[in-house]
Amino acid sequence: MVSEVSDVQEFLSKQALFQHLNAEALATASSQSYTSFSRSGALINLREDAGLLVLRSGSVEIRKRNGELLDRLSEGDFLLPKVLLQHALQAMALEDCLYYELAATAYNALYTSDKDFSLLCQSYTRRFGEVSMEVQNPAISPAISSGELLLQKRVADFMSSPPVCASPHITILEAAKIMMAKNVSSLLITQDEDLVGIVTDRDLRTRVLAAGLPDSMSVSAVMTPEPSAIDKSELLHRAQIKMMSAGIHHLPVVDGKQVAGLIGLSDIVRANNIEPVSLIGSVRHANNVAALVDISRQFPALVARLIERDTRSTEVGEIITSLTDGLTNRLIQLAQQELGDAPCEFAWLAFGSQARQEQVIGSDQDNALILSEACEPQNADYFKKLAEFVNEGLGDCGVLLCPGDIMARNDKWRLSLRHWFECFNQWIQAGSPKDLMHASIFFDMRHIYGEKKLSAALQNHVLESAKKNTIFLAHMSDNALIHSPPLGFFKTFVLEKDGDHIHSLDLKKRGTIPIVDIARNCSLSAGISAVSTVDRLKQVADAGVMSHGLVNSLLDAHEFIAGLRLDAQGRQYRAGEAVDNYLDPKTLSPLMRHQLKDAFHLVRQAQAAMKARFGGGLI
Amino acid sequence: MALYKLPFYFKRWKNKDRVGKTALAPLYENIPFTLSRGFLDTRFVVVDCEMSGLDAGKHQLLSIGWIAIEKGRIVNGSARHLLIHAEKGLGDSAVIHGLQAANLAGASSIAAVLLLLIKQMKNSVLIFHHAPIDMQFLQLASINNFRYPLLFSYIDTMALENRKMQMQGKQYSVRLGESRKRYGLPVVNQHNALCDAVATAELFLAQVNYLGSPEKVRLKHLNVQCS
Repeated sequence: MVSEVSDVQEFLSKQALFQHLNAEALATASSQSYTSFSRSGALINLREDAGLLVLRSGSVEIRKRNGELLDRLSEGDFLLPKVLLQHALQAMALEDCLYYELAATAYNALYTSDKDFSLLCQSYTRRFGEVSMEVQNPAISPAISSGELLLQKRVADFMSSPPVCASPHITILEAAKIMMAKNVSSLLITQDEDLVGIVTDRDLRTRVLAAGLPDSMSVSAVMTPEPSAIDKSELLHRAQIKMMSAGIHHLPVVDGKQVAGLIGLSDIVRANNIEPVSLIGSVRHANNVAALVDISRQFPALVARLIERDTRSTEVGEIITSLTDGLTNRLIQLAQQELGDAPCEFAWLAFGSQARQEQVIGSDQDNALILSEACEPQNADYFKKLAEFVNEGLGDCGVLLCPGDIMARNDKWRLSLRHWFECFNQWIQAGSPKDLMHASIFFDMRHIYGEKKLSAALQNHVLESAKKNTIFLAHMSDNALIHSPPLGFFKTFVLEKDGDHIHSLDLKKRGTIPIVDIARNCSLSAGISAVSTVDRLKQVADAGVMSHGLVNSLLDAHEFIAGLRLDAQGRQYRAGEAVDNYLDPKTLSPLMRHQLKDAFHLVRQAQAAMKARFGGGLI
Repeated sequence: MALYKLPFYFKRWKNKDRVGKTALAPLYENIPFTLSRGFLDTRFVVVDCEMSGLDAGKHQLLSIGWIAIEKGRIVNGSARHLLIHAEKGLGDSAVIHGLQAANLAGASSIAAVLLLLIKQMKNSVLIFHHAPIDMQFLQLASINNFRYPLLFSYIDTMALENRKMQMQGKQYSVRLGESRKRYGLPVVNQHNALCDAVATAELFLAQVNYLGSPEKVRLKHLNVQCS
């Protein structure tokens, strides 16, 4: 007898469920399979002795008894007869189909011995399960959460530890001697192991030598008191962003309150050999808009490189946003150099994706100004000019002007704190979901520049009033349900709920935005101040609004969808095409198809949970 | 159709005593199938042979592939592909079938292969796509090795397809690949005895499903014949 790879085995080896199996396991599976045929229009015979059906050719529709379409399968898709029988679902051949039935014994053997196989089958089972807020055993498809977190770089792995510390009571001279002896450029000042300050080479130059102070003075007089610090469990790039935005080169690392080490910008550069550091640096030192425009030309290439390095999408979002933040800060400073100091206190706010730190290449700008109550009408002109300068500057740097004109240069969005309160009150007390339709991005806000207390006051006001207003939450949830993910994929199309097909998928509208909306609504209902979707969801789980299981799955789904969107954008950028949010289903591998389908299902589940909680009227 | 049983009984009666001591005995103990027998209750063995040419007198069998159908579905684990010792020089088609001399070195004797096939044939209906040629070679091999021909019931999917075309008044090709296309069956790129047997088996399932719902199809609908 000739030993050879059968057609069945060859086919199975390319499918999501089997592709990771070795040749021996594949041969065993295919030898325990049957081939069947169903004529178009006939119901598929779901036999008890078949654990799994894989479609070889043709197509199949899965419907409820009442006719509601649940799924449509084409070549390579699979179904589990037991699950369909349990839920009294019917599988009908839409076109003549040839399919492989895997014997129940072989299915069970794979299910118990192969984790990837069983996870994929479990996620399939859940697709037809009941929808509930409390999903006990969350759906996590294998590759969605394949331990990537372990590979993430943490501050703790790159800091120098133990740090060189000294008491605040020593003299400047003693401090300098310690630094020389230990060959360090910065010294942490601690009292009872708590961090109270930091002294760097630069401080010694600028605050001691240049100021002509005697070295016999206490070091506490020249240290930077209460320096910002970072927890050792944080991701490395957070430390980087913190340093870049504060314009410092050393960051103390803490473990709770205790000093654990010190991390320098050079450590990060070494760890990542990443460019944002230098880019942000040059943004901070650019002397005019033209220089900023020049620098920002490098952003897309940087992002493309980050994507190539498999940087997580949340990180990429944070890095792009940190660049936009840096540009905004610098532009405001440049505007003030031109226009003079502001006549009253103000705060520059970012909304939407910049606020959530989730910008991508080609994100537009959404921003506004809060002016202090004391602002006189005659000063309005100053802020108009400032806003125009910054908005246009950002536009020139590639942060597109907002098509909805939600920008500080719009008179509507330069308000005193009192008027902002009124504005938000109007939204929160809106009479219909429609009145709120375009307001949702305002509920993602983050302080960028100016008086932080103004932004904080507004944010507190919004959180306080939103949380109590159930009608508002219902309206918001109604609006959030307008964008629902598709059912899945069929052949090379995207399958819609009503059985329609579309050619390409808007990953932003149909994938990311629904998750962002869920996170926003749930966190508003619990008065959570976090703005980024990931932080919001985590806190939503902690607050008990949604189960940890569902949130964890949703976080995985979010990272997966956002990652796909980024990858597609990276490809478009490299190919010199216009960057958009569309995904062509043809480019998906079988496993990715399956995972994306799972992710969509989860989002729909979470939407249903949100609807149940806030009582929206639509779905 | 009912005439299928007559030649079966005749051949059985004529040779039964004489084949008694040969390997063919089990085949001659079979009785013809009742034609009201259901498709789902019948075991089928789909067979395809590769030969060095088309003339059974001059050319020889190179390989045989087969696969069984039980309860209306193809049993993938039953697939066999057996190469046969070259006894005469290979004809042109060896190249077509991609069978290299090296491959044939690990082959079995025709007698051994026939014995394996005979085991499969018990209580089963054989299926061929274009039966006459394959059967000619198989019968000659049987006579050469066991002195008597094989005795079995068979269905020819090409004949089934021809009958369908005639009833529909159409004149499309009834070759394996073309016939499969009409049932939306996937294109098969590889051609050897086993691949063609599997392709024929799939075609047969499609044909049966188009005759009616499988639980209602009986052997009398399938043009069963006697070897």
